[in-house]
Amino acid sequence: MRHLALLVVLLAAARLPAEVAVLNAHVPEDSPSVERVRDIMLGRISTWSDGSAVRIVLSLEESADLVVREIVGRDTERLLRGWKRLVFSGGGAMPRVVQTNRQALELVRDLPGAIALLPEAPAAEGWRVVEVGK
Amino acid sequence: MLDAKRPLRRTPTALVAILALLATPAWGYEYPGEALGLEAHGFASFGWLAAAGNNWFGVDDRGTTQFWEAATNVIARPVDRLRLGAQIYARDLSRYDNGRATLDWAYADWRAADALGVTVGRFKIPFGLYNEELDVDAARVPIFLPLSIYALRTRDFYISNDGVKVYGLVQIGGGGSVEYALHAGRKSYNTNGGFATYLTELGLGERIDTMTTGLNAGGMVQWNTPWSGLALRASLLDLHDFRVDAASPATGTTSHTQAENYWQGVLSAQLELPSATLAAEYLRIHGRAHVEVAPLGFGSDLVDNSAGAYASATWHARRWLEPYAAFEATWADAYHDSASYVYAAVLAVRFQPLAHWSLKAEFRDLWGTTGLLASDNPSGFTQNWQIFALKTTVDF
Repeated sequence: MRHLALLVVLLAAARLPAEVAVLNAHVPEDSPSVERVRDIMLGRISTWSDGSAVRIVLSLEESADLVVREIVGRDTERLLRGWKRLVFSGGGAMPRVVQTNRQALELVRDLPGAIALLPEAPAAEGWRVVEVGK
Repeated sequence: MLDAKRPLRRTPTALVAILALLATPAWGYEYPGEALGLEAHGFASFGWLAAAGNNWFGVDDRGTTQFWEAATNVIARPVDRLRLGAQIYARDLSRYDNGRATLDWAYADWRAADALGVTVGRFKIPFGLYNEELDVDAARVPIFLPLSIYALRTRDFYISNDGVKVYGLVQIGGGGSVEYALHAGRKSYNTNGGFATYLTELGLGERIDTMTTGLNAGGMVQWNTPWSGLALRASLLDLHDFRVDAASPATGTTSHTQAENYWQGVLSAQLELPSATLAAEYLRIHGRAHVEVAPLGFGSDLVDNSAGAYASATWHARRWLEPYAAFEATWADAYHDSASYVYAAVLAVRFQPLAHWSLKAEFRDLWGTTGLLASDNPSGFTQNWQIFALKTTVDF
């Protein structure tokens, strides 16, 4: 019975996407909380703790959309609609949108202050990977 | 509708073509102008509007295509904490505004900390849940924001302020977070704009010469509760020392209208669920003004105790399909809700074939006549009437 329960737990865990925030290597915050990441993605916070600009990178891959939904509570489409509201009412600068998770990683590496929500990311020199699962 | 008295509308065909071209590769890997530290965005919306039973905004059951809006902006973040931006906006809403371009907002924003940001310049007024997106069709599902809270003819009055805004976000531990904004400024309104047109229709004069506020101040506080997706907001706005000078050359009279204070408050609630968004708001206005007409020496007090409310639901059925339903109520006198009112049942749907292109349809079934003009309906009002609207928007 205990083995069956363990199997169920493992299967359930296997179906859940992992959730990581990938930060540009120069972002000054080591491990922002899930609440802070949510506020950043919703445009409520626009600068990092050192005053540098937050630059959001969104991947249109389904796996990234699942992570955005889990962390932010909106899918990527609705999140972008919220950003259109901010941008056209003078409340912010638009996130950068790319087609794939790979492109998102490359952009985070190259863009100072960048952050992306992804299901996973390998360790690399140009970015830092932070677990943000709830 | 063609009207010989009206100036020719500036049809933004070229603008649409440019927007469509820009929209195609939009939000790709790089923004145009990025090398200069700038980003530019814009949108254009076009629609068709008709009203059956009563004429509304000068629109009848034949409909009108004088129903469009467009904007373009530039945003820069030249140094840490600083954001600069400006937007030009134009709309044509039947006989209101007629495509006249205006400076929608232009500001310098300094974000000192999460809890403190300062914006100086012309900025949108945070009032209710959605006032800042009144013009942004791309940001919502229905064509019209609830008209019981977000009036269209008085847009100039409420949309922006020239002054200072202080705002921020404060975490309150396990209690969620609080967003706030306080603003103060003063403003001169365009005497050819939609609001001025509306005041002439209300009988202040044939033309508006000046229209100003001595102090335009207000604020909002929003509690982002720890319960996922639930936010509660309270907003307050006071237009202090609001003055309008108007003239009627045909009769040789002038009028001076002054309101010491024109208070408005809104209570709002929004619940964002994975597949639906629910919202409800209640607006209460307390306005007192006095009109003097010269050389007749005639004076009159004006009282505004109006109120409005709505409840709405948006179903996020698919990425490309979202139905919307709402019930709205407007009372001309909050103390006597049977005196004059309009109730509206609203159905709308938004299709989004592409990320930057949307198509919408909206139907409103209305009971009551508050807000209708007798000059638009010389043969009298119909109690039950309808509004139909179609709209498409591209943005980049």
